Amino acid sequence: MRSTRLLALTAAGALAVSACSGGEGVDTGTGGGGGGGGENTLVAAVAAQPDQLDPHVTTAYPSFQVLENVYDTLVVPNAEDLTMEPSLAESWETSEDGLTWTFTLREGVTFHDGSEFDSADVVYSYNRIIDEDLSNAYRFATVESIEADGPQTVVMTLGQQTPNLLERIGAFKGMSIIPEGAADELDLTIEAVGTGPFQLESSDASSTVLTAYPDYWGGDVTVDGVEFRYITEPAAALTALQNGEVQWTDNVPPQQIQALEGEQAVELAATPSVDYWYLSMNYDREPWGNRDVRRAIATAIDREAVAEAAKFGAARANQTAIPEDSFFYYDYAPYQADPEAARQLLEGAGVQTPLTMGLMVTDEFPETVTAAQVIASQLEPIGITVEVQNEDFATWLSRQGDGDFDAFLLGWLGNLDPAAYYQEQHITDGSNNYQGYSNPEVDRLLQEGAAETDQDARKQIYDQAAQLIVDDASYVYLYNPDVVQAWTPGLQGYQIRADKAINFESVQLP
Amino acid sequence: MTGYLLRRTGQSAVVLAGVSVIVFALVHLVPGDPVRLALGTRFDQATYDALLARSGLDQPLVQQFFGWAGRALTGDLGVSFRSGDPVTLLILERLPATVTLAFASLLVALLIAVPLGTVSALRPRTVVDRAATVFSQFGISVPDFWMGIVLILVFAGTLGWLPTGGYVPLGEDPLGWLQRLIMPAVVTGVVSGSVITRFVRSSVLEALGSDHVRTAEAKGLPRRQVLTWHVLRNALLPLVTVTGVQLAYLLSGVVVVEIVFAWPGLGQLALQSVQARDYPVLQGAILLFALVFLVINLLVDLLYTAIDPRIRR
Repeated sequence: MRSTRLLALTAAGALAVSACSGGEGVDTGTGGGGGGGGENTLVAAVAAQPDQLDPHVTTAYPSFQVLENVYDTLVVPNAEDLTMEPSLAESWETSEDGLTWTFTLREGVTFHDGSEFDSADVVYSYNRIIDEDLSNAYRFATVESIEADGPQTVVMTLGQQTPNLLERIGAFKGMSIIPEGAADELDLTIEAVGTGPFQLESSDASSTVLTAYPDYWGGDVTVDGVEFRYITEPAAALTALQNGEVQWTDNVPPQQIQALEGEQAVELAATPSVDYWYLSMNYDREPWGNRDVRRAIATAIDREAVAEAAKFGAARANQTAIPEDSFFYYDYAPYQADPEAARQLLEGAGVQTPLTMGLMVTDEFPETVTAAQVIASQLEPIGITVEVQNEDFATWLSRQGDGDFDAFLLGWLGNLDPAAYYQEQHITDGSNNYQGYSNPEVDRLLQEGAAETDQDARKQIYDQAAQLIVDDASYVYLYNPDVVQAWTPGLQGYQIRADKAINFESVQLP
Repeated sequence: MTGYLLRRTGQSAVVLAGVSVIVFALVHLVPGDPVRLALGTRFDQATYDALLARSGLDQPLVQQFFGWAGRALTGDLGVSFRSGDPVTLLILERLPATVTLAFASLLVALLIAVPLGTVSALRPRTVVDRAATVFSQFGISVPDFWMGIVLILVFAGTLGWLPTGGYVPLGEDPLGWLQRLIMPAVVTGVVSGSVITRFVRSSVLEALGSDHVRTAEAKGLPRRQVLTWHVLRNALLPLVTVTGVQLAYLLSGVVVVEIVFAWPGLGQLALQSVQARDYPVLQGAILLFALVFLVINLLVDLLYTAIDPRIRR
């Protein structure tokens, strides 16, 4: 659970509006299954309650599941390939030197309180994040100023070239535009005034209810509303879907995925996600600082078996971070699961076996516990005894921050840009470089990649960086999991997305 | 009687003060940093410092304690780190669901335990007694989450008679309220009932064997009168104690059952606040649980004096 609480591993539980497809839908008006909120209201079973509804403050995925449908950003990732496309900004231009970005805003957009959307709202929203040092302030690290130039134009001035600026301001609803002054006039933790397809009706300990916003700029919304009902236990969520209490869920018991594929009462969908899961070792603790030891471990691990056990097959083994469907995917897999070769590497490293490795995992993400058990069985034959240390997530994070670990398993979720996959995790002294990796060549490449504006050249740079990172086993990459969701047969107009954004604006009930 | 009441209330207040110190210390000593948790993994140092200052966690612990305790005395338990809502509001929001489930479960438990325990004590080593023992063994040893999921799969899935879970207030939809209450109340009721059954059985057996019952029987009193006046009344005392403890336990929220049945009670809130290291909510919730235990124990003690006049002094 935690599911439940699938609580915020990263801020980027990246969600996004599926581009203005509203308006074409036909309102069938027939209503959903029994137990639903209203005649034409979609009931969605989600795993947890939003912690709060302020898009600039929360980092929790359950909050973004709701906020995705309430707020908009200037740009959004496209549903197919996650490239950035217009939303509240209709178009944008970049100056010759790449340091000035001019956004032209959409006209005729109103907030749920009826007020007009204009450039002052954008300037206010972004400056709120920066001035109050809110969770996503780091996304504006290269931004020097944000100014309005008339009601429909916003100019952003940068201190250095930032090719991924669009990803920074549009990857998910943490970068939402709120009305000017909203933080002072409203209690944004429980109130919401966005420009999105749905407005907040109520939120309590059982469910959050949204109703369609009639003046939505993207066109008519096809359902009257959406109720997000919190059902933490996956077996209960699935039963609720099967007996018609809910029409959609992302809380599918992983062990049931295969059995559900032939099931009539449930439509199951899976797509590779932009998340990745990995094993990381502490360079300050011998022998894990030894490159050959790390490479021995990378060689001993059978990633297919790990993915199968951890996700019951709903995952793709990968030796780099970026998944296969991405433009930035780099097909590089130097390690063959081979215990004999791994043993030789260990011998060559001159370390004495048996070794003991404490492997830190957390119940917050049960797949880490399962993966650790499989990895333990794979490392045993090469003389490494893995002691699986299961911590609650708060303790886990503290130990990670204090460098109090031999090794740990975790994932990075909601990555869109290659910088998000690699930069802070592997650059010397990077804010997420808990393992203590340092390679001057990698540093140079990552800095170059962060500023390169040509996509193909950029891909080449990140390919080189990825190769070094994989060869050095700074991270031992394991797999990219699938996004798995299920809905009632006949539900239309909903699109499952690799970034796990959940958008119901054009959904139609059967 | 008034003196007794005052003395007991005074003791409870002292205990509560002690509990608040221990709670505060424990909560802050548990490893884990709420600010880090709230920020996820991608943030910069300035963001961290700002949130630390906003949540008041940068102040010395002693100062934090007195600030919190002082406000708690006036009924202000602070504001949740996680949601920004007042803690009292969060607790009040979940109280109806918890109270409903606690009393419903206790009802189920007593409906099972009193007849079963009494009958099995009156007919020791018979089929009824064995069945009662098997039942209470079952209730104690079967994990409640398993029982919950099985009930969901059967009654909500296969048979489709009941909703899988959730909660609606009684005033809004009485039938829906009852339908959603049945399964969680049965699961917690069976668990509590199993514990209480054993107590009922042993205390009835004990009363049956006591001197005054033998005397009553020797006097030739009808069996029915012996049972109601001399056995059950004396067996009631331990039953009241154990029922009080069970009620206090149920009112503190039944985490697992609440999660399985999506029941928005205090147990879920407490669990969430532990996971998020949401100190204000956690402290408020534990303080409330301590208060519930104290009040119920006080009530139980007062009930004793009503049941057994010998305790009154």
